[in-house]
Amino acid sequence: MDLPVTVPMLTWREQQLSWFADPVAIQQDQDLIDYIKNNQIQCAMIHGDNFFSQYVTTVDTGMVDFIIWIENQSFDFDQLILNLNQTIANNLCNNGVIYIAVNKFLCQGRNYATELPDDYNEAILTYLKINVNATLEKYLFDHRSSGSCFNWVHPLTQFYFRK
Amino acid sequence: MKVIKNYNEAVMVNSSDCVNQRFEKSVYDISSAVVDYINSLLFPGPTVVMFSGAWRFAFDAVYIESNVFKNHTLSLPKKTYYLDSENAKLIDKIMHSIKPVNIAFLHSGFFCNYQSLNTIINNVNQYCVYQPKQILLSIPHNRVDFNRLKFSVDDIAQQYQTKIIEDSFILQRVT
Repeated sequence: MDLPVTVPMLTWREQQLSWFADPVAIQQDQDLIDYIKNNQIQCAMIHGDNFFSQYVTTVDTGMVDFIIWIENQSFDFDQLILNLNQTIANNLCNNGVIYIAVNKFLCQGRNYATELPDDYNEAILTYLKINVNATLEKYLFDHRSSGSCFNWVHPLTQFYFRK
Repeated sequence: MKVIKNYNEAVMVNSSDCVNQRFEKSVYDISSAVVDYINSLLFPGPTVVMFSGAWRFAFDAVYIESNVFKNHTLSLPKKTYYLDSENAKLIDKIMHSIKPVNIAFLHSGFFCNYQSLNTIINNVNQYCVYQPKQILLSIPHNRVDFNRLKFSVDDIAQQYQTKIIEDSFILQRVT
């Protein structure tokens, strides 16, 4: 009897990269990999995208110097802030860094803050700066979203906060 | 390995399998409730569906797609034209021969491209030049750019006078 043939499901990253004639890497993936290498990060806690587990030893509990938090499913910012602050308090060492990438199109709003800037990128920056219990070191806006910049693989709205 | 910011910075495989996948992904999943609603809005007469990838709907229509996808091998109805979206003369020629009563943009990633509803509607309005009786647009909420920290989907629907069906905005522009 023939064994059933199972075709492995490709991730969206794998599927998109398979469309190119030569091997390519996505800019925001490479930027994070470079950060990991340049800062000699050995282990990290990862939320949302296991792709990066090939570059660090992942841990699920305890304290770490680096956390990767990629929000690429439906979320609301209030709950995201609660989760981030809980993780920062419980798992990030003093002086440690949390990298946050959010797909801004996937926010399901519950409460609306009319005092925030009209520009969505500026509003996200303001909201996170006010509410994340860490110091913002670097941020990158999503000005490029056009469906061709891999936002749905690795979100373009990115922050580095230090505890 | 080359590091790229967007699709245009590297050469894509031109195999039919790859083109098929990209063609299928150039339209967002569309629910039967949205299709049924669009169907209920159609006026009698020719319908042109613009840039809706590999989707083919139950209603009678002519499809216009980007020639990027012309080498696909999917089994689709023959009433499909593949053209350069920048080639206004060819679009003109096809539109004037069809004389569409309805022009529809349904969940088209190719057309909507993560822009604001204002920009999308301005782009839709350019098709009024073909004098259809109406233009219809559907787009999932999460493919439209707006400030989700300040405004709800209902706010945006109200601002742009669109209807909400499930996860989508529906615009009906009677000309």
